[in-house]
Amino acid sequence: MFEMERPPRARRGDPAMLAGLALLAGVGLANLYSSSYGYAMVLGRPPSYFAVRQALWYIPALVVFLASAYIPLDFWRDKAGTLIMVSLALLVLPFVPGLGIVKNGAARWFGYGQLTFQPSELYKPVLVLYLAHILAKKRERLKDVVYGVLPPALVVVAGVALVLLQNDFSTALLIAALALGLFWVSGVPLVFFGAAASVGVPLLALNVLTSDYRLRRVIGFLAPDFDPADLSYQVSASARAIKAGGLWGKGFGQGTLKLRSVPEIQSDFVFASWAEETGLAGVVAFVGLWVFIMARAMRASFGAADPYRSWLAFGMALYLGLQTLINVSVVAGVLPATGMPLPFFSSGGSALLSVSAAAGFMYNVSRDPGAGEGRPFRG
Amino acid sequence: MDKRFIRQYIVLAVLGVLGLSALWRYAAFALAPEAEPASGEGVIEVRGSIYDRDGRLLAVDTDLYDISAWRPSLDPALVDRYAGLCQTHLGGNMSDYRTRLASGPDFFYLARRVDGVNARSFQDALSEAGLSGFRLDRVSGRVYPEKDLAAHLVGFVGTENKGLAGAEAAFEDELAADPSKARGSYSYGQSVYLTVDADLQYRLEKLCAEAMDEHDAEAVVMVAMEARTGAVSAYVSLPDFDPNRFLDSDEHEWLDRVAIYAYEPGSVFKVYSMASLLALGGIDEHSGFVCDGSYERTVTSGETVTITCLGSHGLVDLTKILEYSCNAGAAYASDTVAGLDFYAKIREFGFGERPGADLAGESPGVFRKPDQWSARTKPTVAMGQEILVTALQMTAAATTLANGGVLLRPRTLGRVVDRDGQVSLATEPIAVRRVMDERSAATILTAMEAVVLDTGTGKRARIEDLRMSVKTGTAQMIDPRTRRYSDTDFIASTLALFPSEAPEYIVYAAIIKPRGASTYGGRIAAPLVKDAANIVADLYGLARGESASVAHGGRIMLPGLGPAAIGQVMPDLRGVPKRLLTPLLARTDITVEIEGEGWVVEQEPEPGASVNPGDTIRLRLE
Repeated sequence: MFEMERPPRARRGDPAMLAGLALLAGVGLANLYSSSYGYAMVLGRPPSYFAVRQALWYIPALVVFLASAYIPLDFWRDKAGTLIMVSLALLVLPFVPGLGIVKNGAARWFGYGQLTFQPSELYKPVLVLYLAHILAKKRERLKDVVYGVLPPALVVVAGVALVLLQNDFSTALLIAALALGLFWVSGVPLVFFGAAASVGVPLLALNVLTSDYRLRRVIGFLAPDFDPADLSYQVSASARAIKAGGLWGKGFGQGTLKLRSVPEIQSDFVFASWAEETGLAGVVAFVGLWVFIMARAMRASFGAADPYRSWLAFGMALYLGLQTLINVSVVAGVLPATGMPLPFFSSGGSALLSVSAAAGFMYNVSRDPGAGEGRPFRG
Repeated sequence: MDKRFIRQYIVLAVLGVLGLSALWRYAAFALAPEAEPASGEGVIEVRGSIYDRDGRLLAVDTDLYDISAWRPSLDPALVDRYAGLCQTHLGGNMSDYRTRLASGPDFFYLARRVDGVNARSFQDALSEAGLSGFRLDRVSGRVYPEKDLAAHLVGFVGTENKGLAGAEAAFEDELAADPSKARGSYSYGQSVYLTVDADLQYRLEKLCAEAMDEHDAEAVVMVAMEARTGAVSAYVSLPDFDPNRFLDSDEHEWLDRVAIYAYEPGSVFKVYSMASLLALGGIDEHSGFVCDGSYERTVTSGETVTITCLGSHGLVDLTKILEYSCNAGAAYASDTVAGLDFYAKIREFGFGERPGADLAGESPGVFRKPDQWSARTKPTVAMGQEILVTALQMTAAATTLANGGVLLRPRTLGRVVDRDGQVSLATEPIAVRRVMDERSAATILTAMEAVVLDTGTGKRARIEDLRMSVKTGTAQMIDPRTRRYSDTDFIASTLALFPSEAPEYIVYAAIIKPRGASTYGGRIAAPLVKDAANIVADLYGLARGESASVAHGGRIMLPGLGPAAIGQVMPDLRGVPKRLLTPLLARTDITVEIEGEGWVVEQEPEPGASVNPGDTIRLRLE
């Protein structure tokens, strides 16, 4: 007879988490339609142009979700090293002539014709997977900076550097923040963060000051009245949308500012439309839904039996939460304008696949918290 | 609280603080007092106007509005009322509005480019009735009141009200509104005054249109320029277009044939090739060449270069080369200088370089360097082929003849004036370089007067009471399919400076691919230039009636053309060769003493002094 190390389980995942995610995705798609049909018609397209394109992306996104949610986590852990190398290699492709695509002054995409892909979107969830794996593996040696922390840190630095070269400053910051967050929860000593800050902060300042448009954005953020026609046009336009929404909003599908006033309404500023149509009530509801999803993710993370699973769920939740928070803050003018899409709300295929994978891994941990070593791990 | 996860709690707390601060901002916005309506957003940018030199309006921004409807915000029960308002204020058909408002796409344009008065009355009517669901967007409201007048020079704007062609593009920085200098809710660009005279422009355009029609030509180009300032007074390129509706035109009509279209100029260019040879010292006004119907030369490689002439002109000098437009003579004359010198001198006239008349996309033409020349090139360039020029270059180069050998930069910009009427930029004549000495310039100008004689190719340009220096040309055109000179495609052109004694205006015209009874420059372009010169002279009141050459039988007054003569007033005989002085020796009423050999360098009495019987005239020659 076989003696099974781990009894086969057909455990169901956390239905509340699944429901929360499904609600978010559904509302996101509906909001995309409502926010973009005016703009689509201005472009001479059918009103559902952006929404239908995004809806088509939900088919591969569902496949990605199912794969990350139901393929055993140990299989993914086994492949983490390979995946991170592949995703690092893909980050180079936007620079390859013939493959790379330059849009709006940034080389972030590669592909051919209609089929384009933004490899930094793949890198984000894969990095979380890899860090959860490697930090869990080395967690007894994390006090040793050279052998414990440095190798994974180099993987992070390579990714951040490549994304910076793609002129995608905000994604690079997000990746750095994600990695620091995972180092932090895995118990890396405080000294490491002090060292990272002493190197990172001057580099950050240098990067902002040497890039003209980035500096303009920061100026536009610090002094929005400086040149409202140009610098912070999106932000002041979205502020008007939020004001127009008031407490209860104009009603779903009733917003008019979105017609043309807010540039890029269907991508990074899609939340302005949500705020206009559903008002402060809708914003609070949105935040509430996210608090709920984060709580369910933390429940999965804290209930996991081994550090890999725990940190995986935590890292994915951090990824989704942080990106959402940054986007919503930019739309409200709390942060300078960046090119950060809102998970499940903004149009864009690569981003949808990326956040679907992250959601899938969170759900996977809730479904399979692991056998552990018979005791909860020490965090 | 599970102490194992203390670090996670810290991260979550940070996220929570950030989330709350964002939420706080949303609440602050959402609960703030009602913002101003969206239609009042931002600063309205008003582009500067374009005027002719006297302030006649050529391009101006007006308030135009696109009016759109947003059907979900409309009340279906009120469709009749909406349609009624639309018909009243926007014009159009009530039932058409009713259909579109009742069904169809959610977002659509009710009317585009509605003028400000109607748009505002519509808006007022809506707000009075308390109706919503309509939106007014102020749009690019560029209007060109003179329609196709000087269309190529004025240009046009695209969406966003940015200049795409002509002065609209060339002076984009001046015309565009600067929002950082906004006054209230408006910011204004500066206005641009061109050098062109709308009055003259209109008359010359009409003239050219008639010529184009009469000669069944593909295109006609004409430039009128102030000879002493380089200011362009008329800038005609036909066919043209209406910049208000430039999208209805095609590239054939958009093409600016004054500054952008480059072509082989043909014999008019002999003015500049001969001037170059004169300035280089290769020839003087007396150098003679024998035209026996063709130019032939065997080069060192053994190849024989042959250029046929239109006739056998016999012994020709500079004047006769221009008068008869003698190809062989011009070709032989070009043998007197080295190719490199010839090339450099012609470049000095401005050929092969952009004229710099503040136009968008001026062409420099094509003038190959001597190391790419064949054995034929030098004599061929001397007669105006194997070099591509623009009409603007041909006209501007003539400023050298009117300004004692100094080339002026052609100018289309007169002045830039800001919103308060302050002149922020005023252009002045710009001397580019000295190309030749005054004497050479005067010699060419005088020789060109012979072109309007009965024996000259430009006799049809002659105006009896206005002295004109003229040159005609009939250029061959390369057929792009065969890459050889076409038998049917020509450019007939004529250049004129007047009045010859001190030229004030230059008029140049080219008829491109005429298909009528004649294709010769002297036959079809010369009369066109004559008519244009008459218009210019009348409009600007040029003194007439000073013509001497024709009334007095021609050649006597033209140094080098015939024997010297002395009437009651002492003429300027300096530069006259000894052989032409011989008739003076036969005079019995006056005594003429000649000292030395060659040409007259000193004379007594001075030119203009009266000559009475018994006087002694002393001439010193060198």
